[in-house]
Amino acid sequence: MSSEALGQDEAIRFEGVCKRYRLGRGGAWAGDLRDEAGGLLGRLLRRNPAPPTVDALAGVSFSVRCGENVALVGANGAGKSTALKLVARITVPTSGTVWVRGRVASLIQIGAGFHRELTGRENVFLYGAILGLTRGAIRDRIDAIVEFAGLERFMDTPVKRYSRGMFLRLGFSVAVHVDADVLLIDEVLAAGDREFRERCFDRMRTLVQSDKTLLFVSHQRELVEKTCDRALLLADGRVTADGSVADIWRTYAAS
Amino acid sequence: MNDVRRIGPGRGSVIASLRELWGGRGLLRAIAGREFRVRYTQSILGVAWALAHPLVLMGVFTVVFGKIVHVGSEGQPYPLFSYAGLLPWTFLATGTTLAMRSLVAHVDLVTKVYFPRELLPLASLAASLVDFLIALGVFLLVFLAYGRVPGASWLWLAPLIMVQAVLAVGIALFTAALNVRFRDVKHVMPLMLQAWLYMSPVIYPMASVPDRLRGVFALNPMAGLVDGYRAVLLHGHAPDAALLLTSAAVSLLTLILGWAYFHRVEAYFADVI
Repeated sequence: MSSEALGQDEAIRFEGVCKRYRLGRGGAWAGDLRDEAGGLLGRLLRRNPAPPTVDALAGVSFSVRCGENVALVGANGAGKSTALKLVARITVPTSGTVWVRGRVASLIQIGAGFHRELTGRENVFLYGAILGLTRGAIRDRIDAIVEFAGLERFMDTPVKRYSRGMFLRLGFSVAVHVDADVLLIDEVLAAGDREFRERCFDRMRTLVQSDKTLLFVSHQRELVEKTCDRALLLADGRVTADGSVADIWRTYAAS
Repeated sequence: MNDVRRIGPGRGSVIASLRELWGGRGLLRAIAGREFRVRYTQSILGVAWALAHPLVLMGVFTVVFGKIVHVGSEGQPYPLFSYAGLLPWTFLATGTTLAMRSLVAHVDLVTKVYFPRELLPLASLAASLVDFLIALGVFLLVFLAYGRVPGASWLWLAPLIMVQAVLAVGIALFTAALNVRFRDVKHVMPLMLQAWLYMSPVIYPMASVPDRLRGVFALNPMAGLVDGYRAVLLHGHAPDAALLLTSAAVSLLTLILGWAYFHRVEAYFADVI
């Protein structure tokens, strides 16, 4: 694929990215047949104006260098998660372009794809595959994953018997062992007890110091300050400030 | 250093999508394995449930159409006759029904992680294919119990299974994608399948279809498949070439159209589901 649009040391670039959602039951695209038929009829009779829309992202441009750790900061609905979803290719922009270099792992929802009826071990393989690891790669890492989660005794138990904390610990352990160039993280460290959070912190620091690129959405100031070297402030789908974490947090707190 | 990816409005190229689908085969295996295991955990009979569908229908059909209504069965014992027809039918009906629900059933995956979306319906079909192979094994046992021995014509099973898989994938991709947008599909589909069962020569032999309807009937891809299974398994000869080729052509067309629709709309699944 061509790489002329992305500089040698660039990992992510947003170019005038807009993401528009249609409001109401239909989402971005359509509803059920009844909505569709009704809408069509309305348009034919020129009764219904175009459905109301909201721009989750309204012309966002920024660039992230390889190995940089960037926090997205802003109020709920500012467009942080939408930005992550675009990088993760979960959805596509309405206009504009997102460029991404290398493999992306989206840790947007820890344990997405875990199945309650399957054992911890089976779920490690499944979730690992979902995050893009091959079977062999998971087999190589399973001991490390289990040890990190501290769930050696429970690996052959169905995860429906797990507590919520255990569930998240297992999910996070798999997630931090993925092999990707760009990691997307959305408020995941809120889980687990103090001791496990400390371990996650350490792991995050290792990831931060590596050449991996991090795009991080969090409302936890302490965590953001420890892991990120730059922050973007988003408000109403626009980037309103770009700078050091401390500066951005001050601006955010003042707004 | 690495591949650069451009994420813009609209859909990607067909070649890129196919390449990515191929890259996702490990994940396909993981999801299909999960589907298969999950379906039968906590059920006492486990995998035996894979057989319940064709066996129960075979029993009912044998009583109703073999003993009461006396439908012809090409000179074969009616249980064998109906079971041979139910083999491809059960795979198609249960496989596509599960696949149709697969995207909506995995909202958490579709809205939180990227992977080739085709993998979910394909995994449902793969799990159903395992059910089908178990059902085929049971057919062999029943066949042997009737004092019969499989012959070389059974080798035709390979192309028959391929045609039925192509057809099922086409229907699965189309209905799964459509169900994301219109939940009406999950109500319509059982009805359509019911009608399709009666329009296919599962209960009755192809020979009892009047000549003037045969041409139209042949366009139903299940006609060639069901008739083919019977020719191969029961009569020991190759499938009717014209019938099977028509089946294969219609199935291929279904696959192309089904995937084309899926490809056209998949970028918006996460927004709409």
